[in-house]
Amino acid sequence: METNTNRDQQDILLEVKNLKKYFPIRTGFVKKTDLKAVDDVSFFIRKGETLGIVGESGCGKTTLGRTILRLEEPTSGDIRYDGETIIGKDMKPYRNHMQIVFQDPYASLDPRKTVSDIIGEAMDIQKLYASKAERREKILNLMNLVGLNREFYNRFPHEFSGGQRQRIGIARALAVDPGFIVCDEPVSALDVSIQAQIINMLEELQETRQLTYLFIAHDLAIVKHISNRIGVMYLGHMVELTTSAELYKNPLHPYTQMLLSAIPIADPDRSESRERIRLEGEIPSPLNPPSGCPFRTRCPRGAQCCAEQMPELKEVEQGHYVACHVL
Amino acid sequence: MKQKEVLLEVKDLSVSFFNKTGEVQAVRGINYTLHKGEVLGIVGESGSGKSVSSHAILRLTPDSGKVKSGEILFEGKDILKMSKKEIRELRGNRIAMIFQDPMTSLDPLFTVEYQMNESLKKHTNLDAAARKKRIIELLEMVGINQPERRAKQYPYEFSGGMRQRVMIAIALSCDPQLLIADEPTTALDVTIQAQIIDLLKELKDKLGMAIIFITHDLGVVSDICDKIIVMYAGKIVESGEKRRIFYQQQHPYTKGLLASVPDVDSDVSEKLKPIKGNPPDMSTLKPGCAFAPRCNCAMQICVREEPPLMEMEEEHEAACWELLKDEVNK
Repeated sequence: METNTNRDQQDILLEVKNLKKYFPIRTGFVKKTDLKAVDDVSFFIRKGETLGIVGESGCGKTTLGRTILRLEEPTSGDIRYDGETIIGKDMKPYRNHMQIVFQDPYASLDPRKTVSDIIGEAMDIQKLYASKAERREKILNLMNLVGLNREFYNRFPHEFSGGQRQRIGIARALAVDPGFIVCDEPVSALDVSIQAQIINMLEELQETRQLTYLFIAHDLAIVKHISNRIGVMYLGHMVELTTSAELYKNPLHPYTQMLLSAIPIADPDRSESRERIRLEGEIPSPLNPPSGCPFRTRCPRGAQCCAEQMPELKEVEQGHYVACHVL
Repeated sequence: MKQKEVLLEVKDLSVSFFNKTGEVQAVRGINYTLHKGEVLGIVGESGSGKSVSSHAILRLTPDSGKVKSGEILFEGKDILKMSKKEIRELRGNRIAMIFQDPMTSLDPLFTVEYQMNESLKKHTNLDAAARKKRIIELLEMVGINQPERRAKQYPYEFSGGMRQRVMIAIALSCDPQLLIADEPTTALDVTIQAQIIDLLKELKDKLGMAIIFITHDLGVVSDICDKIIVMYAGKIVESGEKRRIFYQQQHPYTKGLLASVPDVDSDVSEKLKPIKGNPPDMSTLKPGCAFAPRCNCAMQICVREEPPLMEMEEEHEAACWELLKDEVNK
């Protein structure tokens, strides 16, 4: 696996710099407080790579994915796709390159549209076909690609199971032939036996179509499986970023260590014998985050400086970034 | 080990739902026994009947459904034949239940103290002062800090994990012998899930109650359960002691389920091994083994006839023709 950090500009597909997304929330009659959903996050993704983002609910992982596609307007910071900034630009041409697969296959498909119209909608908007016959051909090809029977062409979403709906969602994302896809918890609403089907399919599609993924999830085992590198988020901050093998072998941030030790293991002997880091407390409210390091209220290490200063994301080993004062 | 005393016996339980198009057989004749202080994990995917069968224990089957046959013996008495009054006695008192979504199972309009008080008033003879003391005790037991202050708060002031703790406190308020936990950690984050499971384990040892733990996640039950039942399409396909299920599983569905979960300790490059196809549509079940269309070793007999549940070793059963192959071929 590639661990070099020589950031060959040629290689990088997406670069995010100091990205912030704040939501103003009314907390009083006229008082407004910023909810810092994404706070100063920087990273890059290489072509053909999968970057996993993990974290608990409320850590800002979904907002990060949406902001990168400018489904949410960033508060500040820069997003560069293929070397060019997309901030302040008309997104329509970029939608051909950047797509998203949503978490909930029940809520993300229009119940009044047929499968073919759902998959074809983006092609209609981007005018990617010359004739009706070509449109039909393209849609059938996509359906075949994601393992949907051609007979489903005129069916409606309610006729499908969760796994099949997610296949429709993936076909829709692929319709414009994008290079980059944000996968926002694409399997967490699915049954265990179906999850593996979808993950395998995403991996195969990545190979055959040279796709680059930002894979957002809370299931650490699945993220490890599909990602080349993984970023761990906590209260809007990126607290650790490294290759997936390194993250599981040598987690350095106390939050990462805590998350890893909480994964349920389907093996009684191992799950009984392993050392569990005793987990304390819960995520503080993002409206009223702790001063300094966001994790210090649950951290077993806790030093003086943690309350005063937010630790920077620093490269401590080659390609291994951690934001912690006490290492 | 103490001598095992039977607490709950489910015999040939069948539950069906009826709609315009006909009958949907959600649970199709299941049998199991739960002993005192034992933790039973019921594992299955959506639609496998795991929740429906457990809701029937408290007679919580919705109006569109009906228990078609069977007996549910709790300490020797059939729950399905009890009067409304007897059931009320049982619910919350001897058998308690916690649900998946702690958000919707608490009333948003009342304080936590009020809601806990309700249940104590109904089921115990304690006076107001004693009840108040008991509420604080219970909240403390489930690990809620500053219980006096927290008791006066409303559900919205609690996080998901804390709400689930409140639900557990309410469930435990009358020292039940059986706790039915219906996917209690599915809506929670991993670190919170680990906390709740630790809590349930601790409370089980302290109070000596039995637990039925319903889940779709085999990882969750590997830690807490003694016995595991695997359900598919309304039937038990395999059941047995935890280690037998994890290390010597016999049914292809159990095998597939265990193989399709990525292992955090394994090599990254390994491909996942999914179970092919989709779960069956319960309204159009065909004869034969319900898993046959997705099974890699399906034989001719599998699509014709349903396999019986076979006992292989003490308390380890599986329903698959493959296990009877030699006899079938004779």
